[in-house]
Amino acid sequence: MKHLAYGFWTVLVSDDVADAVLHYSAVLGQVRSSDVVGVPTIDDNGCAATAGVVLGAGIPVMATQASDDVLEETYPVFADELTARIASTLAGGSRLRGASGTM
Amino acid sequence: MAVALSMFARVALSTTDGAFAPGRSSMDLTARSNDELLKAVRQRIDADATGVIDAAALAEAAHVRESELRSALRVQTGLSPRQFVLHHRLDAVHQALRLHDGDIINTAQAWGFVHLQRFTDAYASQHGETPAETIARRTSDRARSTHDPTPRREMRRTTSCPSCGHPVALLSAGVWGSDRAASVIACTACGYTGSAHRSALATGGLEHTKGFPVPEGDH
Repeated sequence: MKHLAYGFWTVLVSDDVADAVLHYSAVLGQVRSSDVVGVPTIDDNGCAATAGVVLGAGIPVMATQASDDVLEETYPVFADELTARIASTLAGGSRLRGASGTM
Repeated sequence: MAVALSMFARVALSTTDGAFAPGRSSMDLTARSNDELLKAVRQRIDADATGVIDAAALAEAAHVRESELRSALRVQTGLSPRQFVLHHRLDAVHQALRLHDGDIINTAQAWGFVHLQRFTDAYASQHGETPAETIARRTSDRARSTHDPTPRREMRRTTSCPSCGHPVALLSAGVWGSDRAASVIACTACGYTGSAHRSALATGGLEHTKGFPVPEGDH
């Protein structure tokens, strides 16, 4: 699992979610674009939750290793969605998705 | 108050079984409507044990406005809608672990928890014990009920003190701390203590093989 640091906050996410967010954030930075993403996270009580974050150029995001957990789930749908957005961004798709791009 | 009146009106309008029957006060109706609201909310959570349920979903299930739901839950339970969902799910896991043979991981997953350590912390905070302790208690309770279905009646045997003749109770050797098949006597009249083998008891006497007899002068 990973701690995803965003501003002064960190959220606990699965490895595949962290990787997808970092890659998408890097691509958005390269093309000087931004997007709003609903990131699947785990709240303080161990329940599934969603954190809405803005990704883009000039917005630092960091992932650090967290201890593994036996209940850890993967989120392939989220990863696939971000992969599609990465492809769309690199292909010159919408440069500013805004709220309409929220997952 | 506004919520209570609103809910009162809602029940009054929706009830056809004599809500205004003589003798039934508005307090009864409010209490009943609150019970119905909590029941509806619990059913909604049970229907989607793993999903993310927000206040709007709970309010829709209870057929009240979101603000009414928040007020009612706060009055009835002191919890916010989100806290109520968590509380209900932790209770459900607790019941499942206590009454059924489910393991922690599957039971927690079945109620929407996706991180064991954080779930365990929340569970312990609410129930005062970890899930593993709940299962251990369940196991020990079952073992006790299986091997000892009825409370054991303590056998009390008496004899007379070999020193002063005062009636004394025979205690089991375990109380004395010995693994020998002997009974123990402790005379409250003269202070005599000692162990008595069955053979000695069978002949009516007591064999003083172990103990701390009181000096002669103290009898």
